Amino acid sequence: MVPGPGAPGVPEPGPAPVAPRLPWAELRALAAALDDLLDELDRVRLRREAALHDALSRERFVGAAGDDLRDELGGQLRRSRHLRDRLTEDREEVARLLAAAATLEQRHADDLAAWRLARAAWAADQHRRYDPASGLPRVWVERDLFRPTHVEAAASPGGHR
Amino acid sequence: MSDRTFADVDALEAVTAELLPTVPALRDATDTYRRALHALRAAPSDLEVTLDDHAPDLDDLADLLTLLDQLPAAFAFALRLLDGGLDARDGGACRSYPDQAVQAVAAVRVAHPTLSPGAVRRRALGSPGDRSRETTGPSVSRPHWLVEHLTRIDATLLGTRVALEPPAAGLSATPRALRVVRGAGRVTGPLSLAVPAYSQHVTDRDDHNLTDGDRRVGLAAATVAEGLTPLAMGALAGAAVGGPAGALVGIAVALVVSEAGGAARRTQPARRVENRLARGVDRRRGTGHRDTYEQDHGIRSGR
Repeated sequence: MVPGPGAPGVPEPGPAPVAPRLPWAELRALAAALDDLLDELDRVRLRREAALHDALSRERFVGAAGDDLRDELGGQLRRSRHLRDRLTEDREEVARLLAAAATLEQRHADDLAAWRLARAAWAADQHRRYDPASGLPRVWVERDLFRPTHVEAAASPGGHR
Repeated sequence: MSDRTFADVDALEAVTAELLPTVPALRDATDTYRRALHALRAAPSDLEVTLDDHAPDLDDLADLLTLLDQLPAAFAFALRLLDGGLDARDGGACRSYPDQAVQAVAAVRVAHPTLSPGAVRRRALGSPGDRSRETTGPSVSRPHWLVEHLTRIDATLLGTRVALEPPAAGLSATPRALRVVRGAGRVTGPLSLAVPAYSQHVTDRDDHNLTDGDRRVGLAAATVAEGLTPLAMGALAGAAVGGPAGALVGIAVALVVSEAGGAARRTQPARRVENRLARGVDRRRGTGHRDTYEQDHGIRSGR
């Protein structure tokens, strides 16, 4: 049985979910840049540590000049390690952001699929209720309720007798 | 701590030759990181990005490593120079010389790499009784600290000159203004770091002897920072309000205001550095006199 226009039916879904703005390219570029930077910091540190243990060692470079240079270089290497730790944390944060972006994107894909299903169900319900040609409720069309009455036809200009 | 420097000069030169070329790669990686981070911050995003920018720290590290990497070769240069001539290489044999003289020569070598060996020797050691020498005698204390700050101040002053020199013909107002803003930032940023670091160095090491060069650098740095900071602040404030044209107006206003400020402005960072330096001298000597400090201001006691 075709439901009437006032009968409860499938509710119309709201607007389609909006896609999240996700800076994928920028996140990936930063991840790559951080990886390179961490590698460079490692190279810089390892070479200087090797120099400190060899040509700049206490045995091979004797005197206050050597002591001061070792102190300063050691201080900068500690600083580079500290910086490396912070950049490693940033790299982990970028990885977390990439994961969050993936989650948001998947959630959006799920929401969009659900919305399309709801929209299709609503469209099918509408099709069941309304005549696509006239836009009138099918109940009216099937009961011939839309035909003009005799009074209306007579009143209209050029109407039949 | 030995009072003589003793080292294999060839090995020291090899250290500099090996280490110095590694810094540009670090700078390149830092630039790529900086661009990527700024691009991420500028991109429209529904993610909350709270990453700090470590590029300034990395730039600073690269600057200091560049300086430190030059020192081994500078010490080798000093040992060769003091040992009787640059050409008298002896196949890696160790050389030694009194530590203070080696440090003094190395400091001048790094600060003035284009000077001839003779000029380096004269600047570092002077002639007997010459008070104009930069770092020698019993008052030498950690000259590489001095070199570090000298180098940084030299670089920033060069940045100022480049930024404030007459613009190229045909350059419109916008790039001119941006150039001045960038130049002012380049100058005052590093100086704002160098001056407190220098002051801290002086305060921390007041048990060491201070050289005339120490005091001159401290005062020069403070004075330059003091003079340029209003320019940068004016430029940035003007740029914020009125864009590039506003930056130029801001600089003009800052110039007028700073001139009008006159003596009051003189009292801040430069005076603090002066006081710290003077305190350091007093404590070291265990007296209330400031004769060494006053000598720098033209009141020499003939010491």
